[in-house]
Amino acid sequence: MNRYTLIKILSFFIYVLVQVLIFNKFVLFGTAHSYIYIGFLLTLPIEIATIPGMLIGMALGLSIDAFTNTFGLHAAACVLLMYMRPILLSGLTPQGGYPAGALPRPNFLGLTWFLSYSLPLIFVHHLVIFFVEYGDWSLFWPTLLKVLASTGYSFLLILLIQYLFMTNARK
Amino acid sequence: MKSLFIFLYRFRAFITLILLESVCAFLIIQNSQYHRALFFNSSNSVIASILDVSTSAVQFVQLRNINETLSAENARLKNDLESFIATPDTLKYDSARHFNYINARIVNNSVDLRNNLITINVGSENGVAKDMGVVSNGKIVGKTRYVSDNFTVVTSVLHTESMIPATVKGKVNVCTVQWDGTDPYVVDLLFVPRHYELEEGDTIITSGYSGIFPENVLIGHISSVILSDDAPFYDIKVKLATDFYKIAFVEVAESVDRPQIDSLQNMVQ
Repeated sequence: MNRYTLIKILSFFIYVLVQVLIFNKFVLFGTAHSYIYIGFLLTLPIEIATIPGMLIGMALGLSIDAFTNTFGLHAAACVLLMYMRPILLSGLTPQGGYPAGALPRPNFLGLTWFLSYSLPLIFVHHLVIFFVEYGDWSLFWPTLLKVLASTGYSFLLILLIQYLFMTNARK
Repeated sequence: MKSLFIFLYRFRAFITLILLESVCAFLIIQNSQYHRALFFNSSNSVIASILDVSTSAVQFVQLRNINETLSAENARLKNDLESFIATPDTLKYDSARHFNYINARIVNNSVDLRNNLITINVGSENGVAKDMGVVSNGKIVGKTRYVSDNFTVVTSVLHTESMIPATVKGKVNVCTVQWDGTDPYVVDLLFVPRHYELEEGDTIITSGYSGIFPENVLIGHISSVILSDDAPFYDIKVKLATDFYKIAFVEVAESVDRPQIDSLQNMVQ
């Protein structure tokens, strides 16, 4: 087990605690929720295969669910996110492939790349969260507004965390 | 047979996806339909203690607000006591005590989701059981859902499954309050037949028919009344008396008559 794996395991717990203790309380205008914990899944190494990725997503989702009393909700969204991630990653491969040792982060692959990689994934995750939580289509437009506002809000916070705490990673 | 294995191997990621999502769907449905007390919810003492850390910080900042609420409640109770002592109405006087109140502090609360739950710091060791009413300063909060030894998860009024038997004070006896999922300050009043005459500002209180809530717990005041020509019932919006963003302390109402009522009803069934 190398240093990177150790940091990653530690950051799993930090992401969960920070999400449930702080960011679950910061809801803007009763509409925009921030689910920054998926930053953990987004920044996993590119090489991680689909099935182990989905299992990690399930574990992270269930940990969040235990605190929010929504058992299975975040897990379902994270599993779907981790299924789509490799597909999106291969679709977004830069010319000549990913540089060796690159992580899917803005400081490795650039802001534009990160934007087109993370926004669709965050959107899908939030779509599942809000529509499954509402359970029916009667409030379609308010729910969609929630999804869109939350996607933007989560993306900005995840990006901020990337630049604030991940700058020491090698370029 | 071999080609089947090749097929399964090629689509192993997709098959795992379906498998894991089915597990999640099972968990979601089980959690919402059967109210099964799963081990991993915020009535679990480890989880509740962790959540309490951040709520304590928030409540410390709100102390001034909390104190004002408590002192207002104190004044209201003193007034009630004065009038109670001054004018004992022997016709209405009911010496039996119907509810015991258990004081509790909120450990975790959500307001902005579709299904909001509240975690409080009392549990079965303090006498809390499933399906007890929860009130705050004489205003409605919700109903207990999962109970562990030291913590309880409460179904807030702001939850799909919350249906509260209500009355319009002095006018309508039987109607129901339910939240439509949009504004955390406004709930719907359902099943009021069109022959009643209602106005804005009418007071909505609990009826006490379910045996879960005491009578006369304030729910809110009517903010808009609409009666369409072909509808059998009114379309009524009620401004909630409870501000779910601000509540910090609640009381769990333990019904003294409940075992009797339940056993009678079981006999009938």
